[in-house]
Amino acid sequence: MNVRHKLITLALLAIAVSFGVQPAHATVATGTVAVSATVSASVSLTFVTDGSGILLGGTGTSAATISFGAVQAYGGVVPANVTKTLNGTTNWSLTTPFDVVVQVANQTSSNYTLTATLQSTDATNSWDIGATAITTTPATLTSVGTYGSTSYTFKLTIPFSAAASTISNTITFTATAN
Amino acid sequence: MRGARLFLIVLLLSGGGKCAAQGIGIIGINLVTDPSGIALTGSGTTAAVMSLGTVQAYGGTVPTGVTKNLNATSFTLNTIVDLQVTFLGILSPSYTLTAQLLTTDVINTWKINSKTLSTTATTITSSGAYGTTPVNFALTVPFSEAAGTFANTIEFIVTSN
Repeated sequence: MNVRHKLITLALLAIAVSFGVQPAHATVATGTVAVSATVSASVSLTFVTDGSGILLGGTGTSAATISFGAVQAYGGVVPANVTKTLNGTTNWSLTTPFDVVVQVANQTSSNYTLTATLQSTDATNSWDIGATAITTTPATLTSVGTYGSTSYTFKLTIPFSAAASTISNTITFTATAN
Repeated sequence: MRGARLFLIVLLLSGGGKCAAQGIGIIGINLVTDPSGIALTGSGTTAAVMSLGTVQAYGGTVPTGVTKNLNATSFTLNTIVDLQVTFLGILSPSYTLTAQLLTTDVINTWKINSKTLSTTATTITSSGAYGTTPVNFALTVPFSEAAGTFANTIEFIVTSN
């Protein structure tokens, strides 16, 4: 190839580079991600401090705590938003409201059933949610619960005959979508 | 002279004429499992599979590398996928990346890097750097959606600049 041919080649190359000639090789590439998921229905139950109730530990979660602190039948103090009631000479009780928030997802459900169960047997004290006594056997609080927030009143009744001590137990709430 | 002509023809056929705009060469894309993301089946190929398994808004578990966020009326699954974009050639400083769903989904929301996808190509970047780039994948499922299995495919298209 002489110099003239080289110059012509370079000139043609410059022209080819300068002007748009559609590429024969792809400057485009594709890749795909196939995505799959199986969505299951689910129900959420959380406890929230009621505006008129005792401050819950772990409010907004599904594992809250109520701590009454040191209380006594006569005299003493109770935490804010806790009511103490003396029942003659038989027993005394502590009551406070708290909120139960139930939500549903990915299921057509107009309402829910809510039960409560005491985790450990208590043959001395009485545990109530509203007017329902709570024992180690599930008790139905409602069978037509409305999704969202519902206020319940917790009540712990302590007989005068019970020895002074620390009382603790756990109530398990179960919401089932209807 | 014959060699020079042949070289020129090959250059033109290979897209040399577009080099100022798109470079000279061949571009490629592979989907790769990100170290922090969900494990892709077919990682390192052009056709990967992401199986999110059985998921639910409240409770349950999500695969390793996937995070779940609860919103007011939906929940979102997030993970990271690596895009490995290569270019064999010269004169392409970057690439344009678009993504689109292959099937219309009027219920769930699919996002790549916070950009909502549809069956129309959405530009994710117009100045992508060649190499491995992580992209954020997000799938938002409304609480109102009936339980069940759904699937779709995201198509990534890279074009050399």
